[in-house]
Parts: sequence; C-alpha cells; structure tokens
Amino acid sequence: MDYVAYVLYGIGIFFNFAGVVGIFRMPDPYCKLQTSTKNVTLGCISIMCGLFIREINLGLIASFGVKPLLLALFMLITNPTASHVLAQACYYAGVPMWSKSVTDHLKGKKEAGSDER
Amino acid sequence: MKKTETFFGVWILSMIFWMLFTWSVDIQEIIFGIILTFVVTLFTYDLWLDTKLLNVLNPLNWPTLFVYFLVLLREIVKANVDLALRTLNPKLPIYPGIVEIDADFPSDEAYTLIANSITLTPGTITMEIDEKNKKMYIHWIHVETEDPKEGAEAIYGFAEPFARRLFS
Repeated sequence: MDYVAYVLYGIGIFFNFAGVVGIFRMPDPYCKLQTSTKNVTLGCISIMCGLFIREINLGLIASFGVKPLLLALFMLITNPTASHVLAQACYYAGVPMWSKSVTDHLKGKKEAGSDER
Repeated sequence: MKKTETFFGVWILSMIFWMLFTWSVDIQEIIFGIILTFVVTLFTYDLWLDTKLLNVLNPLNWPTLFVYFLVLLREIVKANVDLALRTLNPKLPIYPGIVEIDADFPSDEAYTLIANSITLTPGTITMEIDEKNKKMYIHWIHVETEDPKEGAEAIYGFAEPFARRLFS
C-alpha cells in the first residue's frame, strides 16, 4: 500500500512541476492560468489521495485520514472559481492577448458593454 | 415551510462537515458542534434560501453525484496529461483564443456547475457567462472549432446531463 502512495506522490510532483514550467513558458496571462489551474489541481489532489492511502495503511484514519480528502474537495470547488475570476478581471482590465491568438469572440461584447462596467 | 427546510438542511450539512473534520464521536465534541453549527446556520441560512444547492442532500441525487465525480475525474486526468504534454513540448503547440458557445440551462446553480467543470477540463477556462443571450465565453488553449454548437458539445458535453438532473 505504501508504494501506491509513493506513486501518487510522484504523479502529483510531476504535474506540479509541469504547472510551474507552464507558468514560465506560456506567453500570456490566460495561458499561464490554464496550466497553473489544471495541473496544480490534479497535482495537489493526487498528493492528498496518496496521503490518505498512507494514513489508512498506518491505521491513522481515526484522526488524520479524512482531512486530506476534504481539502481535495475544497480545492476542486475553489480553484476553478478563482481562476475564472482572475481571467475575467484580466480581460476587463485590458491585458492584451498573445499576438498569435486565433480568435477573440468576447471583443465585441467588451466594447459594447464598456460603459456598464 | 421553505425557511424551516432550508434551515435544517444547512444545519445538517454543516454538522456533517463538523463531524468529518473532528472525526470523533465524543459527547463533548458533538454537543459543542451542535451549538456551533446552530449559531452559524442562524446567521447564514438566508443565503441559501433561493438556491438549489441543497439538492445534494437528497439521497435520490447521490448516484448522479457519484457518477458525476467519476466522469469529472476521468476528464481531469485527460486534461492534465494533454496540457502537461503541451507545456513540456519544446515547440509549445498552443493556439489560444476566446470562443463563444451556446449554454442554455435552467438555473444559476447549473451554470456554476458547468462553468467549474469547464475550467477543470482540457484547456478551457470560463471567462464570462451571458445568461440573457444564453452564451458562454471560453478561453480555449487549442481552438478546434469556432461554431457555437460544436464548441458546446466538445467543451461541456460530458457534464450537461448531470447539471440538468441535479439542478433543474
């Protein structure tokens, strides 16, 4: 059972690493948000699950085992919300998109509704 | 009637979380938890009055929730592998853009569920929701289609039936 936990830790560390690399490599804030949100969410969740499995194995479920799972649940709820708000705020604050971006369907709406905000 | 129901729903929900956090059936912990969650509920239950979030307490919805979590987990893993490969690829193969998709849902909670599911799955972040015109604006890291219908199917097709069933 311990080895399952170690494998989960390894997966988590790999995805967190990919998220950090993404923050450095991506060209604009929106793409940075993409990598940081998703990779870090799965990374943290798998580390939490590894912790849970290890605690079960040590017989500590009575005191400690469930908390990592609850943390993972809260992370699932709050992480996308936070990144959505950051992306929206970036857009309406006028942060430009990457020059090689393909489309921008929100542009017309932003210009039309600029007096409301 | 609605008020009483909501009050007890919120109370039970916070009590469940209290017991999960303390993880103890000691009589002291339980009595203190009941008092504490009662006070918290007293101050916050009116936030829940007009929402359908308490649908998750209905046992009839639990199988749906369970299946939804499994599907969501699968999509998250797919998303992460895809995005990690893109990030670590030396050529950085991304074609980012903001696309408009159709989104017609019965309630705010369904929109929230869909928006969060979208943000957790492959290369997409919800930027803006327009409930009046029933549109969503998505930042997509690898734009495959600019058609609103196809985009909707590709982006949130997996989560749609669950949102309709849970929060209709």
